[in-house]
Amino acid sequence: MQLKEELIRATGKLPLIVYYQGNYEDIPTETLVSIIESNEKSVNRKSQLRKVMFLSVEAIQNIQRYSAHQGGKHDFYLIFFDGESYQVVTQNLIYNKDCQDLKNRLDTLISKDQTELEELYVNQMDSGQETEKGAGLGLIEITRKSNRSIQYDIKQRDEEYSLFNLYFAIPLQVKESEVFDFSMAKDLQAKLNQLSSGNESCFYYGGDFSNNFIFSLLNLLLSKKAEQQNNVNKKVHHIIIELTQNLKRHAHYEKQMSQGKMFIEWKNSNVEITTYNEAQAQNAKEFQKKVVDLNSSSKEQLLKKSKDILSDLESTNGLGLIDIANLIYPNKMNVNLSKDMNEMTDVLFNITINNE
Amino acid sequence: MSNETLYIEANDDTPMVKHEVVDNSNVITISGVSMPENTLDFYVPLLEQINRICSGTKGNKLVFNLEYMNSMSNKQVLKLISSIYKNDPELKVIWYYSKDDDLIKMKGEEMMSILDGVNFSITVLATL
Repeated sequence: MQLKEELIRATGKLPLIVYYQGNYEDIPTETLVSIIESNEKSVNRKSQLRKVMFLSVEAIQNIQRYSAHQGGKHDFYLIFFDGESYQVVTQNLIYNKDCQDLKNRLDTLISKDQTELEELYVNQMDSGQETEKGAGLGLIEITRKSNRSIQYDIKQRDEEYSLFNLYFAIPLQVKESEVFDFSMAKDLQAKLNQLSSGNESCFYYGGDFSNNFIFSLLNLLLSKKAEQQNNVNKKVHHIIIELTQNLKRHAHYEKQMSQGKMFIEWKNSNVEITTYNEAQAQNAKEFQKKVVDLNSSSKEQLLKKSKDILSDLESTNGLGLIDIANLIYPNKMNVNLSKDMNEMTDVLFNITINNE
Repeated sequence: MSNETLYIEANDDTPMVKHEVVDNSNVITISGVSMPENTLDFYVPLLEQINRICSGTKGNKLVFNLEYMNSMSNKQVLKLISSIYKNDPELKVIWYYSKDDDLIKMKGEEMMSILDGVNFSITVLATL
């Protein structure tokens, strides 16, 4: 939990962050991009958002095409917006034998100025040279559209594989002479890699918790091959709907800030979901009280509480939390409250759904 | 029998609602996803319209085949069934769930136990 709290602190002020680590052979590109798109209404500078979505398609397809695909443990895509720029980090395993070619290509691209990049792009379009993995335009597009705010890193892991990281940014205001500072992206990358090391797959999100986000997330989850319809996954989907709508209704947030954060971690024997949001102190305490009460209830008591609230048609009490308690039973819900700097209460909520 | 017709196309967060007349009885099918952020916007006018369609007719049938249902829709669905049953004690409710879906099954069982006297059947969807 400590690492997640560190991540929340490091990303707390970001209006948008989307991270997905897993097997990119499984998921269609558009499912991940539509999660970014679901924030279109709440994020300023839509034209830059559209541009970064367009380049994200290229970046995600690069992972899909060129990863050595060893189960997706090391492959990820991360995008965040810090108010001044959209920044993207991708990571995937590549074969050592392919490293030099990739390095040469990227060094050549990065050394070119904008005019040379435009020419190269047009030439490549005209040449008609197309391999089964595409026309090789993706990296040229990313380099020229990011105005060369791009970096890469290749680290050898063992005798066969290396880790390839690509960093690029779409700043709202381009400063021609400056080299873009990717230190925050690299810090987040290190923390997220640490988080993912204990997971088969991991999703981290901060942004708008509207229904559009839920649809996009459900589409992503349904497209995962490992997420084929079964009892556990269906439970995860129901719980995500309740948690997201609860967070949207009860979280306190400022305009242009994310409404909260959500982690979904797929592990060997379970799926863990964690949410974070700010709330008024009184609301947070009442929420904690409900959780404590439900945690101390037997299955029969939970079913009775649910039936009592449902049958009272005039009651405004919510059923969502009882449904979650029922679905994860006998596991318990965890909630941690702490005062934050804005006199609000930070609410960290965590549940585990066992694989059957 | 009312001449009113009812067909609502499914949306991203609201279900499809279809009205048919079979053997002189109204059959209303509600299927898909029910998770609107504001459930009253969807269910209050729907309840009024279904009540109009079913008024004066006995043996109406409500068929639910929901893939996802948020907890707020749950209460509205219960209100809908209770309201029709008040005027039609011969109402039949069929509640479908898929075999991997504990929550939708549990919700059906819960409503069946609350709606004492309603002809309520819970049926697992056949898998291909």
